[in-house]
Amino acid sequence: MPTLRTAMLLSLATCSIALANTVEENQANGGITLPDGFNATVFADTVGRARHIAVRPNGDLYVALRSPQNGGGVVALRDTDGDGVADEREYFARVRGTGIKIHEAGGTEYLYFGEDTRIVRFAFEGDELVPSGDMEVVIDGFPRQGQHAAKPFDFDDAGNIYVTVGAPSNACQAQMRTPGSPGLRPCPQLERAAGIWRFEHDQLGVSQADGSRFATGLRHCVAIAVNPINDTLYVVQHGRDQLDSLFREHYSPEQNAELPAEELHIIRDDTFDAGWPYTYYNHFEGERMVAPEYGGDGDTVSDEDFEKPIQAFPGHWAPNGLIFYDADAFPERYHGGAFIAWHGSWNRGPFEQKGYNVTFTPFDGDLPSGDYEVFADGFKGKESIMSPREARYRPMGLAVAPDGALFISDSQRGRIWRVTHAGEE
Amino acid sequence: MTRSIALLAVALLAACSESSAPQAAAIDDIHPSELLAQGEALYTQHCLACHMVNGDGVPGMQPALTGWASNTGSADAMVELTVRGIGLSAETMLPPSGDYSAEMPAFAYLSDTEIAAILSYVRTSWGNNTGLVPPSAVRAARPSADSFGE
Repeated sequence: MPTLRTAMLLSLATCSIALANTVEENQANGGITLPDGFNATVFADTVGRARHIAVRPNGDLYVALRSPQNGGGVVALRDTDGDGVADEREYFARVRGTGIKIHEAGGTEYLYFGEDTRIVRFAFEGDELVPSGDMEVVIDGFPRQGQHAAKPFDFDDAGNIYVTVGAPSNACQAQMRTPGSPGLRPCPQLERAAGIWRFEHDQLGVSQADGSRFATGLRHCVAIAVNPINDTLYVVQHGRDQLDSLFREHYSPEQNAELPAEELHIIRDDTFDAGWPYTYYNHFEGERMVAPEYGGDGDTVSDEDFEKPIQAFPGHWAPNGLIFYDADAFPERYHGGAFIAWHGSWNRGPFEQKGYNVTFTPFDGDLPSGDYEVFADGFKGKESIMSPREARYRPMGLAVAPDGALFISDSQRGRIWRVTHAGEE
Repeated sequence: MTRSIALLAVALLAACSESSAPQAAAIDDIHPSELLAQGEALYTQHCLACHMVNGDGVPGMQPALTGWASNTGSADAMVELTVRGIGLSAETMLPPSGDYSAEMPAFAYLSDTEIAAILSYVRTSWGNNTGLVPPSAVRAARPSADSFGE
């Protein structure tokens, strides 16, 4: 059967050419797309279930892992020859979690790590890749919870720590995620969660009660950052889920797919209240709406004095990383602006899932000076996906290196990109 | 005992449901094709948001409903989990087991037939082939063992 054999070989050859093209195409910038003038290298791949990332002043990169592997919950990565690819990789620390920062206290450089119930730290000695200091507990005793348990955090210039304590529910319903179940008022979860807790600098071994509630009415803010330019705290909130499946008399699946907004906030002082669980933000109306658990019907605007976002984003995109670009390696318009990593939606079903990108918002001083734009894209690996598991990559953490490069981590396959700018401004 | 026999009968039925569903005998007075049709609609309304249109789940949040032990194995565990949930109220938030951060709500407010329809749909979709669940199996798993919402 020479004809059939030839045909089969031919089709095989066609397949492999197509495959080669796809692979080649995907390899540019490590499988993601960037604006003109920007390039990315794969700094490291398959590091584990990456969460947030942090860079030391010497350029070493640290990745928090959701579950430890190779004996560690932190991955240390070093690029010794400056080619944009890490050539040393070490796993260390018996921890697991999301938050990770490098911070100097009392003349010593530390790696701080946010597990779901505590913040710990490890001291560096000199330029060692793996910190040799024993683990010290900084803050302990955050309640165990299932939903929104991650404890990302950041420091202000004085060294005070701001920790996200997410709400242990979707909307504080009497019966969790149950259709028609009313919301509790006052919501008891607000006493110890659904906000940002602030802890004074230079404290060790303290508990949540030793801190103070700095912001409330925030459902969950995995994306949290102190802007180093104005020393002010910003967060991006994960908006609530399931408007349609919990209150189908008021919301269609189409409405649920777009509502509510994900919210970028500036938190100037401890009077801040963003109104969760009593309200949500409708970015089409530009209004904070009464949540259906509290008598809302999709059209009722809240008359309570809750904060509005300084920028609103499409529903369910899942903001998991926030960083202000304070370096000078990118064109001038990027200086002082905010990059946000969007983990990508799951609550848009039965419609396609969206997000799965990194956006940039230009800033002028404390506030956005323009609309957001998609900066890095292509993480999904295909045009359209129906569930997060189909995504090739999911953007998670962001960090700016001392040389101005932007690092992006991926939680799905453990890829780390290093984005640089080479073009003319 | 009655329950086991019913489940066995259902499993046998399901094994040939693809070719002979239109002619298959009723389960607890419901035709299998009717049970599955109801199941798909109810899954879309109550389950799809978290477990996805293709049963894929969400990594780290909600489990996939394909290839999962409770799904591919005994129906009893699925019935129990669906009726009671994990984490019963705003006051009793319990960390879920395993790798999934989201608690499973209790679906006890659905009728025996509705829960049976959903689970039957899940157990025969996306490559799953572990059989239908009769409403009587759900009734037996109710805390009071009384019929609820029928």
